[in-house]
Amino acid sequence: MSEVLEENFAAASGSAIEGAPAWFNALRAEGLQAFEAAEWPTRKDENWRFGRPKNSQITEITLAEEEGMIMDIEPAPEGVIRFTFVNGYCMSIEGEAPEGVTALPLNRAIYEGAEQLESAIPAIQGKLGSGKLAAFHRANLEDGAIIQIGAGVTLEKPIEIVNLFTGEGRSHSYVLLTAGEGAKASVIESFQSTNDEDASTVLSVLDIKAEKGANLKYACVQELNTKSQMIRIGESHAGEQSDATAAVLHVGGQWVRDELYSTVEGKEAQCKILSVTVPRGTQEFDQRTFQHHASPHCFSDLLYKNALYDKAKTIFSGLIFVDEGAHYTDAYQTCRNLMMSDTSEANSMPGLEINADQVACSHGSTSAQVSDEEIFYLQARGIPADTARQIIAEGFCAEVFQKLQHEQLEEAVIQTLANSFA
Amino acid sequence: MSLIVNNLQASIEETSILKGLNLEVPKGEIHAIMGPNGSGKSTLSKVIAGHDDYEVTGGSVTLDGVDLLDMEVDERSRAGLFLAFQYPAEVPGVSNANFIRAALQARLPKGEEIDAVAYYKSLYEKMDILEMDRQFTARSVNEGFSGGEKKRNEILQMMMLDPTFCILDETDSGLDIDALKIVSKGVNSMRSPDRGFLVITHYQRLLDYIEPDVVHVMADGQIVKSGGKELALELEESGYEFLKEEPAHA
Repeated sequence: MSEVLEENFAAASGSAIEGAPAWFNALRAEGLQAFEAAEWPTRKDENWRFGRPKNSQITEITLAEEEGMIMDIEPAPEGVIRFTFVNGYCMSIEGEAPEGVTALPLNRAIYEGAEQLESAIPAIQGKLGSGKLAAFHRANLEDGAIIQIGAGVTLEKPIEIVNLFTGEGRSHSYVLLTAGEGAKASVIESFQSTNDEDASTVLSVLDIKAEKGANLKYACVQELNTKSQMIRIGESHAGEQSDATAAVLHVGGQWVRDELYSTVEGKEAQCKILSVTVPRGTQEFDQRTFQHHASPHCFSDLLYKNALYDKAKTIFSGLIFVDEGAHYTDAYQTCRNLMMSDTSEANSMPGLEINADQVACSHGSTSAQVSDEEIFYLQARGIPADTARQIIAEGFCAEVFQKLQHEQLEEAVIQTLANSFA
Repeated sequence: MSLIVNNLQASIEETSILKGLNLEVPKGEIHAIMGPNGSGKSTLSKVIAGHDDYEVTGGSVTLDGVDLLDMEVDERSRAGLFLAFQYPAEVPGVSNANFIRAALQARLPKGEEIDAVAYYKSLYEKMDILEMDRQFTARSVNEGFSGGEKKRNEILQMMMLDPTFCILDETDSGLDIDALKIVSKGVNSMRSPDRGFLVITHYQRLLDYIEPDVVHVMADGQIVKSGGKELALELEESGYEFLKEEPAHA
């Protein structure tokens, strides 16, 4: 078994892919170097406080097989661009990308749009504790969704990325999403298991960049089965007068680690960072965020909510970091936990570091149970107490996605949320 | 339905609030309860609805012969009781339309679903009577509502749930005269020989629009005086001074 593992590992990680452009193979090689140079995180690492650093050592888990199309999915509606990945490999793209839009799997994009792509793929991520893993992901970069919205282009319908996982083993996913000057687009990504039994390990990297004046909204619903685990490493960058929104709903996975590093840089750049988790049973969701204010007059707003059932556990650690000179910063960070059981555990570590003047910042976290007055009100309308609690918890979560201010994305996320409460 | 309250005693954290209250509201009638602050008016409404802050220490409350005090709060509602709250709770993230729908759904047998088309038709009809903008359906329950909007929303729920006995707890508080008229219009549209109303209010003004059959005066946890609607006018003129001359009888 271990022999097979080693072979598999040596063949893929960091090695050159035959026929691929040199720059791309160089990225992979660089990834391998960084991976080898980096240390695994330990419990002493501040970014892993209360967490499970050992869980991040997933590199020895066998790679999941490349599978064919394994599920019947309804065809994408007219005018919708949809990627479907199975175990990280692109199986299909539906819909036609309009002029000015690139929507390609990575393993085609490297041949068809190489020059742009080379400069569009950012440096290796993982500033929030998973640097070694981010390097590993880079060393194995092979497929993914490359979405580039050209300057001035407006996409009416969200682009869909469907990630399906089947069989045991490790899969990698990658999304590069960029919006050129004044472009406007939205993306909805989903992570699903094809059955309740297979234990998948998903390593997902997300790079978002909004250029000057762009408006980019990204939402993700993660509903893997509860045998699976996932590490998501994300970065978003909002440029001058742009608006970058990233939202996620986690309902699946036994253990999920989610790191998101958001930068606002350039006058009046703004970003919204939204998350909801509904952990049940012994599910554990570990989320780390960083709001980096790199220049003056920027805005960032983070709202994370968790509704915890049973013996579930959440960890939220977030930092607002205001660079020297990033005056007139407007930054908010809120984590709210709704404790639906006495045995669940929510850990919150909000943080703030300000190195500028004239700054309006707030951060805070709360943990509470459903209020008796709300339950009484719903009961007084004939709704049984248990149902009342569900409705209130669902509303508590749903409220976050109203902030998307995007009807289609909101609807898609709310549907998954509603299913998780049904 | 007829509501009969017999020798009702209730307390909160050991403090006795209702001290043997008797009241009978036959179906088809509207009764008003007035009384000074602290007389226990709102406590009465919450005890009848089943709020668990209050401990019932004696007496009974029946709705058409059915004992309410043994029921859960939601069972009382499904049995036909409706309480329009003085301070309705806010329920963030839950749209008004979904909230009312869930309340109606709770009245259906398992497996049966509300007909969405009929539901919205009925909802819009009632909203029109209450002059409520359509966008109320999508807004979160009571969140960011003005005082008047909250009260209208209470009446909307009352109209949708079609209860057999309604308690209005200071529904007029915080309403301007126009809103008061609209709310009253909604209530009056529900007057029926099969439905009873208990209207709790501080001010006679409301009773100009919702005309009561009987007015009760409550003081120190009991009904101390009952009379026709002219009693409300008397109270408006001379206040509750008379209570000091005629102490509440045991």
